[in-house]
Parts: sequence; structure tokens; C-alpha cells
Amino acid sequence: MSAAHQVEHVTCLGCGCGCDDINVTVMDDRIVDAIPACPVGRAWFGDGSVPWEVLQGGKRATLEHALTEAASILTKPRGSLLVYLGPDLTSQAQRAAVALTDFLGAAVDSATSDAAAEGLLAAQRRGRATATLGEIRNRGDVLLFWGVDPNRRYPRYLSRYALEPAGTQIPNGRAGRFVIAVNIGADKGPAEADLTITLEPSEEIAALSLMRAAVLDHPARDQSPNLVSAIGLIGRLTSARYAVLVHDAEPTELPRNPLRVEGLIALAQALNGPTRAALSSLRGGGNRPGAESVLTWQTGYPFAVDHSRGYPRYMPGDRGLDRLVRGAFTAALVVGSPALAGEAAAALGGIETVAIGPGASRAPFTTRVAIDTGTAGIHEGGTAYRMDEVPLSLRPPLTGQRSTVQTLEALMDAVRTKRPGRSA
Amino acid sequence: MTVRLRIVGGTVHDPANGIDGEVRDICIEDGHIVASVPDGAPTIDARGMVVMAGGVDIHSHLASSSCNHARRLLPEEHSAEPVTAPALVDGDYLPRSGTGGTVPTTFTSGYRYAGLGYTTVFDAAVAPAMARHSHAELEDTPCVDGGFFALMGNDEYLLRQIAAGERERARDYAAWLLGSTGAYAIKIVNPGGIEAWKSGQRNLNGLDEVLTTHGVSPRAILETLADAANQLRLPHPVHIHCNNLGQPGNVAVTLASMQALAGRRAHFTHVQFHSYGGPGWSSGAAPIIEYVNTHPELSIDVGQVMFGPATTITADGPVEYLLHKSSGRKWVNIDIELESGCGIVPLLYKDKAAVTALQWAIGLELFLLSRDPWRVVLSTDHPNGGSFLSYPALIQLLMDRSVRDEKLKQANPKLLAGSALADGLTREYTLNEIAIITRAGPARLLGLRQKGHLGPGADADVTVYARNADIAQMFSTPRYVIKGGSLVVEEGQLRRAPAGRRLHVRPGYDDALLPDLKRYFDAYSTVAFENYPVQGVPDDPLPLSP
Amino acid sequence: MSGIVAKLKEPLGQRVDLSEVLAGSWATLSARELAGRPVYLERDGAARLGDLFELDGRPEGSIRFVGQLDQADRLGAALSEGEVFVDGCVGREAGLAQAGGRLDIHGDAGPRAGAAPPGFKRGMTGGELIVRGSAGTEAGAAMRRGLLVILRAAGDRTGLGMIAGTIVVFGAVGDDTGLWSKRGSVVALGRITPAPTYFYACTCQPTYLRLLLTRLRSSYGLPVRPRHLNGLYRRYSGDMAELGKGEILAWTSK
Repeated sequence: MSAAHQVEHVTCLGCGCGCDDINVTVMDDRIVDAIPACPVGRAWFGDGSVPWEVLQGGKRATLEHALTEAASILTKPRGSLLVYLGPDLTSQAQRAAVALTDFLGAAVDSATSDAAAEGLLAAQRRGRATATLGEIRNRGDVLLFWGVDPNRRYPRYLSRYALEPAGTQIPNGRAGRFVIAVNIGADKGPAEADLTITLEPSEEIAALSLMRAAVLDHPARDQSPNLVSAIGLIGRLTSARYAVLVHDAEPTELPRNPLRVEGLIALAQALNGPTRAALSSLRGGGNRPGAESVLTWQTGYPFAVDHSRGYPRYMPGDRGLDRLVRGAFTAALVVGSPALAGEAAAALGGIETVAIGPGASRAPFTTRVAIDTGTAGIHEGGTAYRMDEVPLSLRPPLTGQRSTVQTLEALMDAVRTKRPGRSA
Repeated sequence: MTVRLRIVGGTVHDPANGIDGEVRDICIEDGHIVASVPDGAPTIDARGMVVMAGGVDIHSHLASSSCNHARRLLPEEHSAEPVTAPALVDGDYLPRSGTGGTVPTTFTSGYRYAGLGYTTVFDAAVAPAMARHSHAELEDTPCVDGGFFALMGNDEYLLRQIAAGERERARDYAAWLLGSTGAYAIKIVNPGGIEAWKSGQRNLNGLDEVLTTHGVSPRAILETLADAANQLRLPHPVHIHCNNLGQPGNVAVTLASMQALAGRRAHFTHVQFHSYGGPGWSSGAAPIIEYVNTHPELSIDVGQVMFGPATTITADGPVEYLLHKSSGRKWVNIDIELESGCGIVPLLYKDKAAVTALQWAIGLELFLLSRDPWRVVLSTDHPNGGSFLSYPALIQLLMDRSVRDEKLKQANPKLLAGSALADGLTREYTLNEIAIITRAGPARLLGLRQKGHLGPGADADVTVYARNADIAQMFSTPRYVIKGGSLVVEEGQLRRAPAGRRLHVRPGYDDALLPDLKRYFDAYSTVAFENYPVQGVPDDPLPLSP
Repeated sequence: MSGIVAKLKEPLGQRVDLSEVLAGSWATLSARELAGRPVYLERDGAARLGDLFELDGRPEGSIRFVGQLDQADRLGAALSEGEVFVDGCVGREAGLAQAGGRLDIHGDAGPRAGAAPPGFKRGMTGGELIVRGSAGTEAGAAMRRGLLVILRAAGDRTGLGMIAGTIVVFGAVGDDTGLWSKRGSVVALGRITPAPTYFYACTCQPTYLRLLLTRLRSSYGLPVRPRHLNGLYRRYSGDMAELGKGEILAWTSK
């Protein structure tokens, strides 16, 4: 029974908040405490125990044999290949995985949700007006929460960034901020709001359009009471010194109008005429924005990229997992947690799948090769991106037995001995 | 094993060593230029060709979080220009595909810079909080040695020190920032103006208009950071993007900024964008370049506008907002906590547009009226004034008056009345002057003693051009490019893609800074003080100036 | 039968991307040359048009596709010249970012006909796209110039974010038609409920519309009725959330 030791300033990837003030207590290679982690964070860290197996055809194998087998699966002359980036990878691992994708002429897609993808596409059409979380903390004096209460899935967002803390321009913290909640049907804003209005889901897009028209000083015709109250918010927003619109970029159980995020982007941009404003998009845990960032600098596109023609091709209308389910691929490389269920898992089980990542050996689908590695920020150091795309350094409290990056690099070596030239 | 190479019989232009078009051999051993190599060393036949040191880009935007936001904004450009992986010699290098356009993917950027004979590039604007990202992009940008400048001109902690009259602490903080982020130089963008944009004051319009939030003026910011850079003996002085970029009449604030730093070493960047007469649009190039000509402590790069597509990427948020409103193009604004900002608007520079034609003319006037090429560097502020791929066309405009006059005939003359270019500038740059403004000059201004020349001990970064009556053709397709002794371009084809070196500095500072800085981080930063410094920067900072 | 005819050899059985078949210049190509154009099968990868279609006829600036093509995507994408006829339904993104020429689909079109590729600023920039059946969602999204005609129903978000150009829908249109348009005209001969950021301006009989409809009847034989030619149209201007320089013209019996 060894003594407990502490690892300070650990970055939590439980949600996109990227809190890097966590003090983790480790005993016998197990995480026994994480303070001041929120429930989401504690669930993320767990006790940090993961399997460390190497499987080939479901049976124990040496790493060398497994990598050779994986390489021969991925380099088959015929057929098409999907590389799937799980949510919990360091950006260093993401870079190694995209390099493999490029060399193999594969399609690559990530854990970027369809809802988040809508936001990326809308931002490609219009651009966006946003800010890093610290600007929201230091300047945001009017905060509008559009159909989201961060307390549910991003528990420390309000205490660290948006609401309570004092900032350079908000010396009094909460008292210096006016909080508006806009409930969209059952998508409710925070209870501690100073002002709450409610819209029917059917009124949402009309409300966003009318609010923008009001910012632009364009005429408005008579509207329902709900819409009138939405338009009424514009006075509050334009009299702010720095208005912040907050929405959940990740999907919820509830259906959502796909135009919501573009409406919010356009409204936030327009508000920069009369005042300053930013849209804050809440993102889920792991390193999802990191995958988008790496894919963008290596391929030019943030997700859904296909290298099968020898160069990166953008296929945002046809996500990798949808194509997988339709039978588009004959083999797959799943990197990171194999946390896929339903049709996608069934489809992976039906083709030759290689899994490399935390819990690969326990994947919920049949694998030809499974190599367990560590989790970003728990066993693996490197970089992960916060929901606002600020790159954070990771201090793993535990030492893993096998690193994802080194495993992917070894796989690349094995692949290149099988196929020296490029596939393209 | 020792790697040797002899470049035989080329016409060498090595102005740093006083060599102007002499036929001589250049010898390379283990990545450096040497006086001689033994007979039997491998050779490159450069007879009849022009030999220069590898190009040095003093001001580009190629590897930053802002560039990546711009990449993400441009799927149209990327899909219009897919790039397959180059056919590299088998073995050491993994050839990578990518996409082009005004903001190419990182591997493609590295390949293309090398393809132009450029072997050293600096990203001119990186928010310190995003430094980690720039290092990663630079690692994925092969064939060039690279570094970046850290944005400080609107930094909250710095503004507080200036307001408190704590200039030594400001200097120590600048040193700590450079070392903690692995940056190379201090960059100022629109001093105070970005903080004004973020705080609701919108912008600062004169050198002495103060920030309502801090009571600090652009003048104080310029003086503090220029002194800091010089006192810290940084190899490159403070790198300044002045107030009021792109505004008619901004020549006044540009001149005032230069005068404010009288006697101090300073580099003023993309000066073309800061040389506009006013109140209407007119050329202000003459007074600016005349001031530069007579003040040897100052240097500039031009930031030439080239006709065609561009993407404006800058920390200068208020400018991008105005550009978005006037152009109606898509617009990104990202306010970066405590430090800076980021604005992006894609643009098309048309020769039929009066203001664009004026911008084009002003840039050329700065080049053609300059008397000391060592202090006037070639740049397009890639990709703001145009892609770095247009450097050869720009070199042609400087070397070939007939081509220049043809272009001038096609350009909208509305605002060119009275401009020196319209009145007819006969000057044509020589090959030696081109070697100065693209290599020797920037290397010297950056304090890179091993770059920009071909003397013994220099890094073996060499470009060999086949002569061609078409200057643009000559400079866009070098026959050979050697980077750190490795033959990157062979017979005009990219064949090797070695990783570049990171160029960074680590000046000393007084530790008394740290407790106060930690208190500040605890109070206002969302990143822990302990997690802020970038890990894994190679432990090989460049030497400070003597 | 003049021009080139492309007959589907056997049922597709998987999705196929035709985006490179008619992009750029094609009208002068022979059947053999066109047969060499690349297509991409979702499962089987790269192939040639000739692997899937029997092509014959002489190059006279037109091509007719015959066979069940509802799994054929991006047919006529980036079309810039010539006349393209399709005997039947097509998959998604037909006439994607069409720049010129005529694409005449004698059947239904999937989502995003004549639209911009996802994330792109501009959809159709020219030419004429006729859908003689129904069109899926977001037809003509981000359209910049040109003409899009839908004979039956149009899906939700038709003409979303239109920059300019003209859309004519004979049947009912879905929700949010013309939403966030900057300029351009949506002509609704069937049922439509304009978004609340569109304003009723007047009831009128625009001359250019009469000319346009007359031309649609003469050159495409579309069922333009006297009531369409002589009827009145309620003009709504919008979208006030954008420039507000676009219009919806809704046919009205009154």
C-alpha cells in the first residue's frame, strides 16, 4: 500500500470547459480524488484504471504481431477505409492518425456531433463573432443563454467563466452582470437569470430573425406576444458594453431546429454594430475541437474529410459514420475510445476493424486488432483544445503503459514497410 | 557520416559578403557553408545559373490559430485547389497531401515556400495564449526554419505596468512571455486599438488618444516595448503594425509613430497599409519612405498588395469589422482574453478598383523610392496583400519596368493622379538588390547571423535559379533549393521535406516579476499560471545581440 | 434523337457521385470521351461514366440520362454549358453550384438541388435548373444568379440565404422559404406562408414575371395558366434580418 501523492493543475476534459485547476490524488496507480472537479469531471477521471491488452482476432497477441496484422488489414489493395477519431485523443495523437489517413487514402471523421457540425458549416458560410472564455469572464456584462442551462452538462462554466467571477471590466462579478434566459420549449435557460422569456420551438427561428432585424433597425410587423418579448431583448443587448450569447453546440435529447446556430451566429455578428458581442458555443468533453483544429491545418477542413482521391475532399453532407452504416467501407481504424453503439457499432463489427485507444480491447464491436492505450489528460500528456479553441497543456496524473501516439507511429512504420509508396 | 556538396560554376549574389554576381563554387558540409570540400564531393552543375542564399520571409501569416480559423473559413478555396502529395524520395519523409488557396494547409505551405526558394519564415502575429498551437503547426510545416512574433501591444498585464509607470516590470514581463511561449520577437498590432475595440471604445485614432480603460496611449506602448526589445538585446527589434491600418490619412499616425521612437531600433511592418494620404485617398508613400531613408535605425517591410484573391488575417479587430461592413464578405472576430484579438475577412483585389490600384501603387513607390534596400524588405503580408506565391510576380514588377508600366496601364487611374508611380519611376531593381530585400536584408534585420548569406559558417540554405527573360518565371521555379544541406528541390521538383528548426529566444528577466504575475493570473486568467508556458520547445534559443 | 444519350446499364445498387461528369467544358466531347469521365461509387470507388452508362449519339451540346438515378448524386454539379435532360428522378445536390447551361429533370430532385456545397458561400451562379417533379429541402440555397423552377412541391428552406436569382415554384413550398435572403425573387404559384421578416408591400402584376412565365411555357412547355399570367401577386419584401432587398411574389386569386 503506497502513500498517496498529489498531482496539481491537472486539466479536466470531462466537458469542454477545460478546467485546469484540478488537484488529483493518486494512490496505488488509482485516482482516489479530484478537487475541485464537478460531477462530470469526477466521472471523467473515474479511478483512471483502463485495460492494457493487445488482442488479435480476440486473443492476446504481441504488439508487434498485432501491428503487422493491423498494417496488412489497412493496406489491402482493394476496398475503402474509414479512420474514426474518438473524442478523447491528444492533438498529437490526432495528428498521427490524420497522417495515417492521408498516407492510406482513407476517409476520416471525428466525434464532432452533427449539431456541432451545423455550427461549423454556418460559421463557414458567415464567419462568426466569438471570444475566448476569459473575455466572457472579464467583459461580459449582459449574458443571454439561448435554450441552455450550463449547470446541466458544463457545471463549472458559470462559476469559472460566465457568471460569478470578477473580471478586469466586471469588478463585482455576478452583481455586475445581467443574465437573460431564453427558454425554447423544454430547452430551458439557467434558473438564476434576471430575466426569462419563453418561446415555442416553432417560434425560435422567427425570433432570431426578428431580433437581428431589430438590431439592423429594419422595420418589423406585428408579432405574437412571445416574439414581441424576444424583440424586446434587443434593447438590453445593445445597451450592454459586451453582450454574450451562449448556446449548446452539442445535441440534447430534444429535437432542435438546424437553423438555430446560424441564427445565433448572425445575431451575434449584427450586435457588433451598436455594441460589442460574442457567441459562446458550449462543446462536449474530450478534445473534439482539437480534432477539428488538426484536420483543418492538415487538410483544410474541420471534419468529414475523404482522402480516397489522393487529396483531401470535404464531405460534410455525408458523415463518415453514415457512410459506414451504408456499407461504404471495407475496413476501419478506430482511434480513441471505441464508444460507438447501434448501427455504427454493428457496421464496424461487420468489416475488418482495428481499434487503438483506451478500452479498445473492450470495444462494443468485433475487432480484428485491438490495442489498448491511455486516455488524453489521464494517462497521456500533450495538448487538448478547450471549447473556445484555446490549446491547453495536459498533465496526466497516471503513467500509461502504452502511448497512443507511439502506437500510431509504430503502425505507420508497419504500414510503410507493407506499402512503401502512397496509395493515391 | 559527413554530407558534402559542391555547387559548381553558378553566378553568386551574396550581398552580405560583398559578392555581386561572381562566378564561384559554393561548398556545403554537414548543413553549413564551408570554404571548400574535398575533390570528389557530389556536385551540382550551376553553370549559367544564379545562386543566392535561401529566402527569408520576415512577415507572413502561415502557422497560427488565426490562420487556422481562416483556413476553416475557406472551404471554397480549398476545394478549388486540392493538392496531391509530392513525389518525395522514398524513406525519411512522409509526403503529405493538402489544399491550397490563400491560406494553404501547413504541409503545402512548407512545400510551396521551399518551392520558391524560401527556407526561413516567421509568422508575424501569435497571441501568446495560442503559442502552443503555432508550435504544432510549425512542426507540420516542413522545409523551412520557422518562428513567430508574440503579440504584446494590447496585453492587459503590460498595459497595467505601463499605466503604473513600471517599465522595468513591463520589460521583464515581455522577456518572460517570449521565453514561456518560445517566441522570437515582440509584435505590436494597433497599439491599444485592440483593447479599445474589445472594451467598447472601438479604436484609438491618434498616438496620444488614451485608452479609457487604462489611461494608456499608443505612444507609451510603442516606447515601452521598443525600449524593452532593445534593452533585452533581442535579435529583432520591436515589430510594429501601426494604428489606423487601411484608413485614409493614416500617413500622419505612421510618421508620428516613427518619430516617437526616434533613435530607437524598430521595424515597421506592411507599411503600404499605413501610407495613405487623406482626408480622401491619395499616396502618402513619399514622406514615409523619405523618413525611413534618413533614419538608419528604422526598417520596414512593404506589405505589397497584388491583384487577385487574398485573405485578411490580423489581430487588428476593428479594421476587420470595417472591412466586413464595406465589403459584405464573411467575417470572423475572436476576442482573445487579456492579450489580443483576431479578425478575418476574405478579399479580392481588383485592378479596376480605385483604392486597390492606389494600394498597389503605394507599395511599389515604397520599393522604388527607397535608398537603402537593407532596410526595406519584400513582403505581401501574406495572405493579407496577396499570397506569398505572388513574390515572383512582385520581383518582376521591381526588376522589369515594362511589365510594371503595362500593369499600371490596366489599373484604375482615378486615385493615382500625382502619385510618383504615375509620374513614372524608371528604377529597376538589380539581382543584387533582390537578393538584399528577400534574403540578406531580412536576415540581418532579424539578427539571424547564419541566414541570408553564403559565407563559411552560414546555414546551408541555398537557392539556384535558372536564368529566364521572364523574371517571374525565373523566381517561381528555382532549379535547386538546398535547406540545411539537404537537397529539397532537385531539377525543379520537390524531392525532400526535412523538418525545419524552431527559431526562438529566451531573454533573462528579474524573478521578482513572478509572484505578482501569479497573483494576476489567479485573478483574471482562465489558464493556470503553472500551465501557461509551452512545454517541449527545443532547448536551443538563439543568442541575443551582443 | 440528337445529342448524346447515356443509358444506365444496370441498377446502381449504391450511391454514385457524378459531380465531375459535366463540370466545366463537356458539350463538344464525343460519347467515347464522355464515357471516360470519372464517377465515384460509394462502395466500389472510382469508375468511369462508361462503366455505368451506355453512351452513344453525336456531340450536339446536349446529353440525356436514361434510367433510375435516384441514387445518383450531384448530377450537373458546376454545369456551365449545354443542355442536360434526365428521364426520371435524381439524388441529392443536382445542379450543385450550377454556373450555366440547362439542367432539365423530368422527375423529382433530392435535397439541395441548385444549392451551395455545404459550408460554401454561393449556390447556383447561373443557368437554368428545371425540376419537373418535387424538390427536397434547401433547393436553391445560397443561390447567386440564374433560374430554378420546381413544378410540384418544394421542401423546407427553399432559397435559404439566397443572394440573388429567381426561383419559381408551381406547387406548395415548405417552411422558411426565402429565409435570410439578401436579394432575389421567389415566385410562389402555390401555397406559401412568408417568414415574419418578410413584409407585405403591395399587390401587383409584375411585367417581368409575365414575360418570365410566358418564356417558361414556350421554351419548356411548362403548364403556365392564364390565371398565372393575368393574376395578381402579393409582393413581400425581405428578408429584413438581412439586406431586405429580396422579394416573395405569391400568386393570389383575389
